Amino acid sequence: MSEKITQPGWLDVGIGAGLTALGAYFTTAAWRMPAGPDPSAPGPGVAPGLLGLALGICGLFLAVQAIIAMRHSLAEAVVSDESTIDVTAAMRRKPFIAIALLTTSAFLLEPLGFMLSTFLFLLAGFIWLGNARIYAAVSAAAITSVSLWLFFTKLLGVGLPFGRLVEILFY
Amino acid sequence: MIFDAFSHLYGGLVIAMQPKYLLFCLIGCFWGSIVGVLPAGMALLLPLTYTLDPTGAIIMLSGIFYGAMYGGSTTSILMRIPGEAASVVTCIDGYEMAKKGRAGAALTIAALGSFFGGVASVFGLMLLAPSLANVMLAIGPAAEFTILAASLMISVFAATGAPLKTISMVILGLLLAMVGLDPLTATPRFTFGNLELSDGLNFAAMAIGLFGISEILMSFGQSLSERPKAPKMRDMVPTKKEMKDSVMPSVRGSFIGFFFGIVPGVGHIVSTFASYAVEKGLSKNPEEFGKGAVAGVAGPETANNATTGAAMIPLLVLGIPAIPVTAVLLSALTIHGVQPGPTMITDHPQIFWGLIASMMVGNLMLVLLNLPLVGLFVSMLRIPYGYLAPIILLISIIGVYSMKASSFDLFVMIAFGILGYGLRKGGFDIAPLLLAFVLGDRIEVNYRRALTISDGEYSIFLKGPASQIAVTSVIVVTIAILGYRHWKRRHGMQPVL
Repeated sequence: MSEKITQPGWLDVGIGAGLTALGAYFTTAAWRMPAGPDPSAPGPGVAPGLLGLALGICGLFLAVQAIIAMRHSLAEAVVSDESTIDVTAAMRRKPFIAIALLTTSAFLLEPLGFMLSTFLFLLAGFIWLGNARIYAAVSAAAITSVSLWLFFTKLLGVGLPFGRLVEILFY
Repeated sequence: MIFDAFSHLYGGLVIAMQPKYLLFCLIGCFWGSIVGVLPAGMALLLPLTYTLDPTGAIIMLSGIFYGAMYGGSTTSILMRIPGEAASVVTCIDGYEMAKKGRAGAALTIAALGSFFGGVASVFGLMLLAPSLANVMLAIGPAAEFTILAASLMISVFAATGAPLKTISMVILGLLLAMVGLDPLTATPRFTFGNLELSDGLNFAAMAIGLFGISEILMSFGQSLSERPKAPKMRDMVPTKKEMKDSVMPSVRGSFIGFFFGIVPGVGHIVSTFASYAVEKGLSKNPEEFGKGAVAGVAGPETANNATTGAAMIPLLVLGIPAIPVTAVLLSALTIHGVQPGPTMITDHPQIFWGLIASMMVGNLMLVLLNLPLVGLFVSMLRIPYGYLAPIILLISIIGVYSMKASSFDLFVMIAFGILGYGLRKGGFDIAPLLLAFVLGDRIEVNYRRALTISDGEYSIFLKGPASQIAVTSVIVVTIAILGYRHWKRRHGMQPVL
């Protein structure tokens, strides 16, 4: 199934709103910091406070600009190049799958250890991102995770976690 | 002075020719050629250089930088897909040459032009940097603030995104640089009581997230439409006419690339387009451009690599990264306890001159490496991206985790990956964010110190020749860019800057 991305204007509104929220956070947090004795010696809160305010204003302008453009049916004016590319539904899902895999891997790296978490990450990645068959994915994931382990730990001397599971089972 | 420079260069060569540094240079050049071919980033290898000594680390990372400029031309010529943004222009005539069966010759001309531009810019760097460093030694915090702020402003005007979006990115970068302990009073700022944030956001995690992860996420929407073929070795030799046609464009490309390399935020893309425009303008047969003109490959490719050496000048002499790649280099040097700036040449001569000498050696290595290995690079392009992406993501995880054995940094990387993906989808240029992040600390410290010295008098920022030159540069560059955009639009063309 192929479809066009039709509402990129909302992305601009979202980013604008996000930047406004960030600006508001930085300004309010900086407000509570010491401002310094006088203008000749600005304290740690002055620069972030002013910059937070500026970011909030910029974010607000971006959001309003995007809304006005959308209301005047000028959404195409704020569309980024990527939005006009014909993208299949499967392709659109892949970035989200990759983010989910990365997050899961970050959670599992220390408990499961490098070898096991890497194997699972690659297995899922090859299947869901590379559309590989299960047998090919298992063998490719096993070979790659062992090769990377040897390359990084033995050749480059990088310390990678064994994992708490391995420690409980074998030590 | 020139004799001094050459005697220092000799000392640098003695360092760069040591077997271990030759190996680091080779690894950097090879990796750079690959990342120039495949969408990944120099930042991926940054954490792995932490175990090296500072000279080895900077030699390897610089090798990746200029290696990527060589590698980027391969896909441009063979597939009309630029490996990196600076190779966009090479697609035009390089691919046309390939369609006429001259792909090998185009690759050789691109490689020789890159070598010529790379070496010429290193000579420029070698001769210009020490004199500029002596001038910069005399400046105080007010002038340093003005110069840093001016370079950020130039990068805003030169960025490809809408001005308001770019300004937002600069402000966001400056704010993110303020996370952690305040450098002057040690007050915790925006740390949420988290000890890991006391040192500030991890630069490598942020850079890998913003550039590496977001690039991979963006690439899922794209696919290679054709399978590239490697040219045969016997086709790699250009004809006499092709060689003759490429000499003068290479000479001009060196000057153009060097000039644009020094200006912060402008860099490779503009220099290649400028070189192409100059060659087309000077050509007796401008109608050949777009149909496989040799000058359309030689000029931009030379300019591209000449920019690389020139971009090192603001980094090494002023401590200002002109482009995101040099921001990564700045970070690598800082982590190793080396502060780039005017004192670097005197405080760390072995690193400075070792780097310059290694850039010459590396450029030679790349010519010898890239032409015979073009078949290998092409075969890498045939690996399905769905297989390659999980491996690149995994290398990112290993790189970030290995720095401090911290899972927290992995979450920082993922968060910035998502942020970078969203921002790029929304048409934001994220390079100014990273530049502002790198410079943010120094900008704030110098701003506060200068105001303390002047007793709150803001006119201090405009006093002295260095500040005045910086302000004048911003005005001149701004007028030049606005004038260029106006001229392009008036003639119905799309400006690249």
